[in-house]
Amino acid sequence: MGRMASRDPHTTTSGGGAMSASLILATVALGAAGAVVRWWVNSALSAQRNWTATLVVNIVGSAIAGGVGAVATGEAALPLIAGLCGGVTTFSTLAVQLLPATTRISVARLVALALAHALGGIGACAASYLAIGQLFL
Amino acid sequence: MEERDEAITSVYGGKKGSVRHVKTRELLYVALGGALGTLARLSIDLALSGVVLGAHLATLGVNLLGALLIGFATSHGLPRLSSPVRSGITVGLLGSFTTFSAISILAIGGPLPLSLAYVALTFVLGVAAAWAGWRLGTPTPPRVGVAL
Repeated sequence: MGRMASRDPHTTTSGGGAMSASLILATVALGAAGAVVRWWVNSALSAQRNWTATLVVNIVGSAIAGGVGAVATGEAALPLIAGLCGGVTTFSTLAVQLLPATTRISVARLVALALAHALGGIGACAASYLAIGQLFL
Repeated sequence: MEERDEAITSVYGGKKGSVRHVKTRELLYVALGGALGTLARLSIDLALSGVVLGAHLATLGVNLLGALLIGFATSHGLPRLSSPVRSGITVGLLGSFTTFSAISILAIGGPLPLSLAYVALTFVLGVAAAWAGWRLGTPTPPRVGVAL
């Protein structure tokens, strides 16, 4: 897994140098698209418990990020990982949903929800990274 | 309530005030907020790209700030803003400013002890930030008592 560090979009994008305007534009546009997808998933699953949509987008977005990270390097990965996946997934909504004041869920279940995000999201990212890496590399 | 009834009856019309119109406005605000949130996150990422553990710090920073602000917005309710604008701020701007996929990527890219500590720190501080924002946004009841 350590080789993922070299594919980390944060460390490979610029190295402190200037990024092209088209790359920034593509990243921002895909970030907007990701936000719309998250909003749509939230609307579609609003009849369910309100944490379901956040769990789904965080796990799916992490899986996509892992898969993209396995095959794309450097700036090529930035629009998809930092843009699309960064826009689809969210931490702020999750943080509010984990507040006991905002929900009737017990503290034990809130801890379980946090673990589901952590294990599900990171596990999906790792599994996708390994699977896609096996397929294409 | 009358406005809602009117909106529901004109759902297929798409005219101003209808559900479709409101949903379209909400979608546009979410997209605009998503673009701005992504740009802000990207800017912070790049600003810290030359720093040791810069990606970790940038992601932690945006997530804590976003959690604080959405805690405030949720508690306060932002009653002066229309529903589409509220969605643009909370779902779009703050939702895209913060990220979970970056946490996942950073977690699988680093040594296990660092990754565990980073994820635990993010969750604990993130919930604390959301709670602090929630408290800040909760209106304080007026003080009552006898003036001495």
